[in-house]
Amino acid sequence: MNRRAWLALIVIVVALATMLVGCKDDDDKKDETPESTAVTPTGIIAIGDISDNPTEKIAIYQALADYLGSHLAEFGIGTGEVRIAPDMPGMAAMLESGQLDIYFDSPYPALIVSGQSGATPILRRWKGGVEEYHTVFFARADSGLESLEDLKGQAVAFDEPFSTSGYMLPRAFLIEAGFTTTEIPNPEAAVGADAIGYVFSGEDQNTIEWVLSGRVAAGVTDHLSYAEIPEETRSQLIILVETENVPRQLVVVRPGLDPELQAAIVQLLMNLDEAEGGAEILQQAEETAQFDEFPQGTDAALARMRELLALVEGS
Amino acid sequence: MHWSPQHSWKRLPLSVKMALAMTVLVVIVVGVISLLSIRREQDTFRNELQAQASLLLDFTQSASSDALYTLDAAYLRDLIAQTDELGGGRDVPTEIYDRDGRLIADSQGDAVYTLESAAYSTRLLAGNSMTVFDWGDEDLTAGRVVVVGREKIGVIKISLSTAPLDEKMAIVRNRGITIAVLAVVTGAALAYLLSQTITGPMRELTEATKRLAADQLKQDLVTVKGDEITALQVTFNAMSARLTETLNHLNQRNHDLEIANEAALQASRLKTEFLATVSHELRTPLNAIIGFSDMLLMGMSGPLNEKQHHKVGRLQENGKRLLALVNDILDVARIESGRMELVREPFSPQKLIDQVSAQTRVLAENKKLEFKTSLDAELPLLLVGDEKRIEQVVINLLSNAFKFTEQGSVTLRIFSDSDAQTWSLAVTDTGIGIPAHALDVIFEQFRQVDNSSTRIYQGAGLGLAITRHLVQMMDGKIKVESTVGAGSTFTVTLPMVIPEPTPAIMV
Repeated sequence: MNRRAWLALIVIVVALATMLVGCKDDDDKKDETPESTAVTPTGIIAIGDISDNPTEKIAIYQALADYLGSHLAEFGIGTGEVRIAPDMPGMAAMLESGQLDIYFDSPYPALIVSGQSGATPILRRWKGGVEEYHTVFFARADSGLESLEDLKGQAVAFDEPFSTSGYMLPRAFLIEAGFTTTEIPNPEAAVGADAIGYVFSGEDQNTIEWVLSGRVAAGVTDHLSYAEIPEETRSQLIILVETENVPRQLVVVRPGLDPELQAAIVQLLMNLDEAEGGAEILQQAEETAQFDEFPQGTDAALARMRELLALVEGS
Repeated sequence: MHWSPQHSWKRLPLSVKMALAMTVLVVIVVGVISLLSIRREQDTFRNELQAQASLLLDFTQSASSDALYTLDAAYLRDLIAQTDELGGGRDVPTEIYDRDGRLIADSQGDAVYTLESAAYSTRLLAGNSMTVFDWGDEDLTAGRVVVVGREKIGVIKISLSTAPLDEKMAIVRNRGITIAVLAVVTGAALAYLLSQTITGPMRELTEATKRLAADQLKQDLVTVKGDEITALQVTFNAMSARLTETLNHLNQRNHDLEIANEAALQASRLKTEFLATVSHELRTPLNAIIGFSDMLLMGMSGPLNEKQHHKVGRLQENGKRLLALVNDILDVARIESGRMELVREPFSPQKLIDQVSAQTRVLAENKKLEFKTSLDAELPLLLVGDEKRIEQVVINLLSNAFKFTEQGSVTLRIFSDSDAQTWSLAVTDTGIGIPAHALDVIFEQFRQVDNSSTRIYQGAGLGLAITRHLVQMMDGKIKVESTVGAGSTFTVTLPMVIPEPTPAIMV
């Protein structure tokens, strides 16, 4: 090896040594981080929803997530994040794995996800400023329909298979009332004479249009959507029956959440409407009026909803 | 002062007229071109907007067919929101109707929820056109009937504001106006300059014509160009030269004629003077001859035997005839020299008839002719005129009538034509008549119908010439109607002048 080769080898060795020393310094810094952030929590509180439009949902909930993240420092939490699941199984998996701490949804999907993930409903959310809602069975006044009995052999438009007011409530109502229900693929499909056929329109708006156009004999929608129908048109419709009320939305927490942290979250959410800047945060979060506890108690409320769920799932 | 556009236009200079005419032409042409251009641009923009509307309809139809088929109103409302974004930042009001014509989605985003069919969609669903464009004042409404298979499942309606179109048209219109104004100004300036190139030589030509009219016949316009104006100037110069030459020639001719005329007048004067002198000198011995023959015939120099009486009688007769001829010649001479003057004074037509009857009765008796006279009762008792000359006219006509009539009668009629303010005297005979070809010459001096008649019928042919001269001097007319072998009628028409009533007459 000549002198030039030796020199090159030395340079390389020195460079490698320098790099190794640098890496060790970084590791040392990482190790030192917990000590230096003892007063700056880095934990994350994650809230979420099910949607096929995650961007929109994140924009809706980010302020709420930030609020929670900034008020749970005592639990090592400094950041709030919003995470969106594409469907109920995805949401159940995120809750079960701890990726998500809090989840908002209407009773039917919330109960399904809770059942699948072991999550727990803890509060009621006044989404859209409404604490509870119910389902309305309606038809055109000139259809000749007067009661649910008249729906036998007819097609009724439901919303979606995971809709509380557009599926669980009306179907459970029909089952509880002793009617046989059967899903049909489209409004024109034949329905047995003794059964009431239901077909999913995909949206409450579609349900109403289908009834107005005569595509289905009747439809179901939540009472809020029904109220949005102009009075002139509504006067030409008839309400066949209205179901019982259920909470508008539930607040569900993941299994295994620190009880103290859960209690802190409950307090933060319940007091948010009176907190500084809280009204704006709630307004941005789909015009939520407030969070509160179930008036009849959590267990009682959940028991009735689980009964309805059981009716639907057991049929 | 009365003003009229036609009058004012005529008074304008030619250069201004030409400039104005060409400017008007430019204005019309530029105006028409501008209007056509604006119209074309408007059509282009409208087509573009229609194409844009069609594109939006195509997109919306493509994206909404399935949703319309399944009546997925929620999807259609989301779709409309996207269509709005496709409008390039401007509002694109969109409406979607179902197969019944019900509005199920619009740009408001809210659910409509109506049971009623809209008039617009009903019209389209009932019609045969799949795409309909309706131009409004502020927007273009485009409608499309969505068909799946053979079924009309809905209608899409979009409205595009024409504000951008209006803005573009305003730009085009303003640009067009600017160009038009520039074109008109430039055109007017060019038209004025062009008119100057035409009217400049025209003015020179006009000035030269004025000089020509002021007897400056020799004109020589400077010609440097080769157009029609130059040709006109060259022609003008040639005309000026020719005019000068002609005028010089005419002047020379006039001068010659003046000399000749003067000589002729001098000769005429000499002739007249000669005739007057000769006549006068002839009358004295003739009167002596006639007077002495009278004395002989009266037997003042002793009785004459029959043969002597006959010869003296012939002597007297020829002497009188010669005196008459001399008198005629003297009259002609007076007339031609302008020395015959008329005396206008009241006279009686009845008395005139009586006098001429007395003088000519012997002629009728000699030839055993019937002589008739008549006087129109409507004629005034007195007329104003030169009685002697009128009498001379009548005597001349009667003498001719008796001369050329061998049998039958001679008639003198005096009658009035109060409507024409004239009175006439007519002499009619049953004589030999005058051939038609001779009617025009019988009033000339020394002319009878033919030379032979001069020998058969006595006379120098001066009577009718003198008669016509006298009638013309009295502002009258004479005419003759004649049939050969049947006779003639000479009619003299004179102005009817009635004398002013005098106190004596009134008494």
